[in-house]
Amino acid sequence: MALAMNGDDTAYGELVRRRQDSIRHLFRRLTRDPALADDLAQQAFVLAWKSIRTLKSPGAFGAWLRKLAVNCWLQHARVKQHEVALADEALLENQAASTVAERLDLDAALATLPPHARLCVVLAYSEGMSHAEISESTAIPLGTVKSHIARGAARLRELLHAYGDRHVR
Amino acid sequence: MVTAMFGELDPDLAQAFVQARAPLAADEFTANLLRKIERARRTRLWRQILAILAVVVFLSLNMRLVLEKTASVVRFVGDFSPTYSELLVTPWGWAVSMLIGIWVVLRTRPSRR
Repeated sequence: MALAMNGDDTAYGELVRRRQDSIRHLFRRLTRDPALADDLAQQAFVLAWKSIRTLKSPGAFGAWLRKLAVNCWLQHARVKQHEVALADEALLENQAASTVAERLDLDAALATLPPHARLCVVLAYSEGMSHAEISESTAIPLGTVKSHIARGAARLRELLHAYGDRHVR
Repeated sequence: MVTAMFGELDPDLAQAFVQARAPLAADEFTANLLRKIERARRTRLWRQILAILAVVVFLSLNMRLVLEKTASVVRFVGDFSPTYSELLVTPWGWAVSMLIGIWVVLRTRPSRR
C-alpha cells in the first residue's frame, strides 16, 4: 500500500488484482452490462491511482475506493439518466411480454429498480454496507436510503419469487 | 462482506447476491488498467511540460519589461540611498527586486494589452 502510494505501478497493480473482483461485481450489479461495468471499474481505479497520494490512512483504501466507485456510478447515472430510463423501460416491457422463466436473473431484477434505489440495494446486499454508510457514500438522505432498500428488496423478492427458488438458490 | 449486515437483510436475497459473485479473471482487466494508467501518466507528463513551456514563454515575453522595471526601481533606490543600492546587488536583494518587478508586471497587466 505504501509503495502504491509512492507511485509504484507494480504495487498498484497488485492492489488492483486484490480489489478488482469486488469493484467489478459492484458495477455488474449496477449496470447489468459486463463491458460497461468493467469500463466504470477501470475509471474508478484510474481515479484512485490519480489521487492515491491524498489518501490519509492506507487502511481506509477499500472504503475510499468504493466511494470513488459509487461517485463514478452516480456520475454515469446522471449523464445517462435518459438512456438508463429508456433501457429500463424496454427491459420491463420485455419481461412483461416474456413467458420464459430463465430470462430473469438477479441482475435483470435489479435493472428494474430506479438507479438510486438499485445503488442502495446493491451497496446493502452486495457490499454489506450499513444504511448510514450508504447515506454517507451516496449523499442520499438516510430516510430515503432506508426506503429505497425496503422497497427495492420487496420488489426484488417479488420478481425473484415469481420465477421460482431455483433461480435464487 | 454480506455478513456484516446479514441480520438486517432478507436472507434469501442476500444469498442470491452471494451466489451472483462468481470470481472474475483479473489478468486481462489488470493489464488493460495498467495500460490506461500508463497513458494517463504520459498525458499528465505532457500537460506538465506544456505548463512549464507556457510559463517560460510568458516570462520570456515579459522579461524585458520586468528587467526594465527592476532597473528603474534599482536606480530609484540607488538615488534614494546608496546603502540600499548596494544591498540590491546581493542575491537576496536581487530576489526581492525580482519580486517587486513581478508585482509591477502583474499590476500593469501587460498580457492584457
